[in-house]
Amino acid sequence: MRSIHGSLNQLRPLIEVSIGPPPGADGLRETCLALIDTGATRTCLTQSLIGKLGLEAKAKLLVASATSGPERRRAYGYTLGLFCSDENQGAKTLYVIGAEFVAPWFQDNGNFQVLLGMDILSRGRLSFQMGGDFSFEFSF
Amino acid sequence: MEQTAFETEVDRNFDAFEAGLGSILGAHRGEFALMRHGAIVAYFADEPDALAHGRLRYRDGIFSVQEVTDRPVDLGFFSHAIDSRIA
Repeated sequence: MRSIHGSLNQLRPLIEVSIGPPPGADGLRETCLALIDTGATRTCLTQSLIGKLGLEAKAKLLVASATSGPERRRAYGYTLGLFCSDENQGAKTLYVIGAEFVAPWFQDNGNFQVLLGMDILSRGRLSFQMGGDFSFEFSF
Repeated sequence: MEQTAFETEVDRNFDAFEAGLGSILGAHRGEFALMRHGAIVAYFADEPDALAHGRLRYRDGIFSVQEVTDRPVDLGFFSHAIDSRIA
């Protein structure tokens, strides 16, 4: 089982992730900041990140949020890479999950480019410790 | 911005999917429909599986995948956090 570890940033669980094209496709990968967001049922990517990577539309979703009613949004195919901790060496290694997921866009903002939602988080084990450290274990 | 062929396909498939959703919900709720040119081709239990089959079957990448559900995806609060910059 692989794992990532982090510490809260102003009480927000932020991690670096790598977003790229679907398995087997050529294209850029981008390392960017993600918020672990258990309030989002789906992972989503900013509009500018989707445009920069040239991701393909692969679905359309009816989406809602805490501040807006339902609307239809396209969702784009991507692969997710996580920087996993190596318990023996203490180093971090990029592990790109070999499956394609789809994510709707959300607004560009100055904080993060990815909201890591429950579609991904529910495939692993997320835990928080006293003091603000957290970990996510997974076996994709 | 010009709409891509992928976006055109997604829009067409979604319109067809919404129109027929009532007739497939009972039998396929929670599954993922692989769609091409406005028609459902197959159902899968898992979204990545549906996408992988689409990639294998349609080398041009012109297809889409729709979850069979009548419930909206909840993007939560932070999808609208516009610029509350973290120091």
